[in-house]
Amino acid sequence: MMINQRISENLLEIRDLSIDFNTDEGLVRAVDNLSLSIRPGEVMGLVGESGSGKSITAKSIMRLAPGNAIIQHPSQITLNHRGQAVNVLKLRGRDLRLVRGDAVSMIFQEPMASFAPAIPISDQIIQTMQIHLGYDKDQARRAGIELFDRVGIVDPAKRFDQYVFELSGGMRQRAMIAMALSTQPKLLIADEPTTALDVTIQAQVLDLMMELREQLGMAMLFITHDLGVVSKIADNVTVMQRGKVVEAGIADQVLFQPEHPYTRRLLDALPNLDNLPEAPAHTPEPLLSVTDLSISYPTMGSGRKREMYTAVKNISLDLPEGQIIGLVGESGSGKTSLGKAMLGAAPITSGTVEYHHTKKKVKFGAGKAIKRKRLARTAQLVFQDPYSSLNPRMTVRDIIAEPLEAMKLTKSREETDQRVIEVAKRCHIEVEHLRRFPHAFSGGQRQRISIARALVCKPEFIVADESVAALDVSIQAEILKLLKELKDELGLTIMFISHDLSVIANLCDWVCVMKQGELVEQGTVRQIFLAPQQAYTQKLIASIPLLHSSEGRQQRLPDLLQIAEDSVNACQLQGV
Amino acid sequence: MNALLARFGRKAKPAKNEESYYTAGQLALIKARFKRKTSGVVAAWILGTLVLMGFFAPFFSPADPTIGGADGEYRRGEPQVVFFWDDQGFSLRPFSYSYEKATSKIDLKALAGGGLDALDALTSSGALSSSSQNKFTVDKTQRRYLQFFVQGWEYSLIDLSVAGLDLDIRWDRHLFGVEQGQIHLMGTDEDGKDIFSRTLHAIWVTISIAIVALVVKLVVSLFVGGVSGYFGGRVDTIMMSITEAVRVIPPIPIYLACAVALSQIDLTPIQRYFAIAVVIGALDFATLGRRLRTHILTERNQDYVLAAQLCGSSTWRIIWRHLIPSFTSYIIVDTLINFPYVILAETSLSFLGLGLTEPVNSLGVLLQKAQDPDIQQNMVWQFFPVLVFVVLIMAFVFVGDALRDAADPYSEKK
Repeated sequence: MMINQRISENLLEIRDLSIDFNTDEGLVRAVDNLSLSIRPGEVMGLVGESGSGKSITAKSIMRLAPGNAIIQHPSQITLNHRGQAVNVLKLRGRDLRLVRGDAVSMIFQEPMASFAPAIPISDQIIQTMQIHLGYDKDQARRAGIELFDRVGIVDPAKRFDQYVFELSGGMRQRAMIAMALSTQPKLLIADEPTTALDVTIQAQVLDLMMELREQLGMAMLFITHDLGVVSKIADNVTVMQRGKVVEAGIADQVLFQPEHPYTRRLLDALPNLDNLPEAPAHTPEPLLSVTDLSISYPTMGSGRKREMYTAVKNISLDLPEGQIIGLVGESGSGKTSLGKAMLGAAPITSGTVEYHHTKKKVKFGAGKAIKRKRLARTAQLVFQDPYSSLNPRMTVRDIIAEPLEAMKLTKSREETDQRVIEVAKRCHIEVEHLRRFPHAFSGGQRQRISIARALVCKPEFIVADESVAALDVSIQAEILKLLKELKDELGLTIMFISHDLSVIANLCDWVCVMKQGELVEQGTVRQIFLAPQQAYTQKLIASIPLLHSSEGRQQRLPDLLQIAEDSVNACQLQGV
Repeated sequence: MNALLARFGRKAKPAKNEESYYTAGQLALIKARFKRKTSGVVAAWILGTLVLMGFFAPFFSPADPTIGGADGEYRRGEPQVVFFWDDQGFSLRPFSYSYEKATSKIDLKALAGGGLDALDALTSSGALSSSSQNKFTVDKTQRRYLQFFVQGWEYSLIDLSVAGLDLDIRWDRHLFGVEQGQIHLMGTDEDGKDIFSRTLHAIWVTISIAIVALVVKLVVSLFVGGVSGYFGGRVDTIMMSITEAVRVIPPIPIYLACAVALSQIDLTPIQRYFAIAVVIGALDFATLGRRLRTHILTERNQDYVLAAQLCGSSTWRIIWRHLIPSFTSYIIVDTLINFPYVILAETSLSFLGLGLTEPVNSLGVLLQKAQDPDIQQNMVWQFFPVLVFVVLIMAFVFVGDALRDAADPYSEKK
């Protein structure tokens, strides 16, 4: 009897959920024996890296799992709806509306892709309300505008009738949240709702979700790979790895006293502002100088009517030799353009780039032709996407040897092979793997290949453009370690471009902050992270999702602990 | 699955295969994935057999398909069935019977006498209707055994004597035949030409037209698509406008116009055959050209091309080492998928009587013949080329389909 009572306390109860994917290679297990329960008003953080099965779990609650996903016996998803236990996996036809909207709503990662692009947002929200709440059009409209106001959209009446492309990224996610709330659900599933957003907007959206949750008393299943975000929002945390739950419990316990090594590894990737590297005693000589650099891209039209978009405006910058320089900025700040310009791969409209202490001096700029081969031996790029940056039709050996062969830097094939093997060892690529094609490797290994290719012609400067953004945190850590190693052993100067402040804090010696094509501030890591001078930098630093137990959470903690204890006792009484 | 394979004496893939997967190049990966699709493999075997039989048609044919090899004794004859046994017993060597033309019993004397009854008898006996002209009596006592590698009419097995090169390999052996007379597996037409042999010869004529047409098409579309895609901008706009203009012209009127133009010039059947192939190919570039352009446009913006540029590779090296390999598999697949359409184009031209005409053996010509009511009523065996045509097209479609699925081995690991 007690067990039944306990179940009815939970809003959602997932028991022994196992999901297989039917693929060309046979059945692949995506979720293995997952059990999870959410109480009314509780925020559950579901944490894991890509492929850990967290999204498919959320989708199967809504019965939105794709056709090739097979939910295995004896999986059970029970939803407590108005005092009745509903078996979600047995719902058919119209009854599905119960989980799709009535009781559960979902927010997706990419708001742009989740709204119909050709229908005004108002119509989409009004329709939802008409179906689920039975409102008439005017009623729904008034309620919708009220919701827009509630999620913090300025001028809600005007925004309500706009199309999704007319809104900014943060605004879109707010509209998405408004739409999810429009049916007054008991449970809100948020699948990486802030991953595609810039940190400052991420902080705003998280604050909004916390606020709404306080006001509406809604339960939330919050899916993310970022433990910092989880620590800000969740009461309880479930950590998944390869389809299995490796650790679950109260947020503070999991985050501050992790038991499973995997959780610890995830935590290690978080920025630790108490342990920032010391600045070197003296500032080294600059390796390269950027003077009054501007970069413009043509946008619309052609010929005389062509409009130009200025990505970088008059930046002057010296990069100290032998250091890792972080270049931080939100999307659209021009950081990638600046990085590419240093490699001669962006249209420079004015200003120059000059390399000082290299074997041969290289200088180029507006109206000055680039000595491509000389530059290629001095500076190289490590790309963001480890998939598209390697030619899938060449072996790893050929990919790494490409600069040597293209510029004819070696005299014989043997010498090329020797150089390739040497650099492969340095980047921890097994020599036997050189015969393989890129399709044999995971993202992290591919990124090593990419780094090896950049290093093979012994450059002095490397630009790493968001080079770990596409990787999972635990693999990120390995690549970052490799970059540090290379800096120490080869004396490389690395410019690391990233939007992720935690990576910058872990890796860099010197940090430059960019905003809308302009350099806002630069300084040592300590200066930037601990004593930012400019208002924008301060805002940026403040929005880092650090690991913390907020006051609000600490207030809630005692009663949650009490609840947890109660359920443990209940289990013990049952002899479970 | 593994248990099933084990039962058939195959072991489950050992771990070593994993390494071979990792080091597999593009072709090996395509092959491996292609083999997984049974319908494609079966179709590939059928296709291979048909094309091979077409290419060595003279060897596989028991009779010369031209008028020179026509069997005067057996015009409009039905298929001669090959047996292994009959009432007189079993024979390891397959045999057929000898056929004798049934002479109609016309009472010439009575006719000459002017008796109306005799005339009545003649008309009602059916001797005058064409259906009675292919009446043959089978002499079941006289077996004609099938012989293998028989000597027959001389033909050139492989003819490479182009531009002064004398490489014409001639032979006179044929896979099978009979001792006396000829064997007609699929019957004969009104001239006594062997349908089976004609069909085999027609396969290669049709396929070679398709090959010529596809090569012309490929060259034109590579040029249009390549230039348009690589240079982009205004060049792209102009070339794509022209392409679109060509695309909207319906093909049949153009073929009609070309056929009229071709008939003005005095051409041998062979020359006409090439002219048709070139016309078909040249007018069909629009779709492939456009696709190649799109492909180059997207591929050009891939990171690995930028990576190659930053590695100091020259433009030529980028095109040759990075861009071209990226769409060779695509071109191969596209060409194979387009094969049936080109064959259909040739067939429809011949069918309309605009392409190749009667003495030449092409599937289109034979198909056109099959629409004759005389054949439909009295010589249904002349539908054999239709059957072969359908099988050939289906085989191409299935192989192309399976190959398309297999062709992008890099799509699965993303």
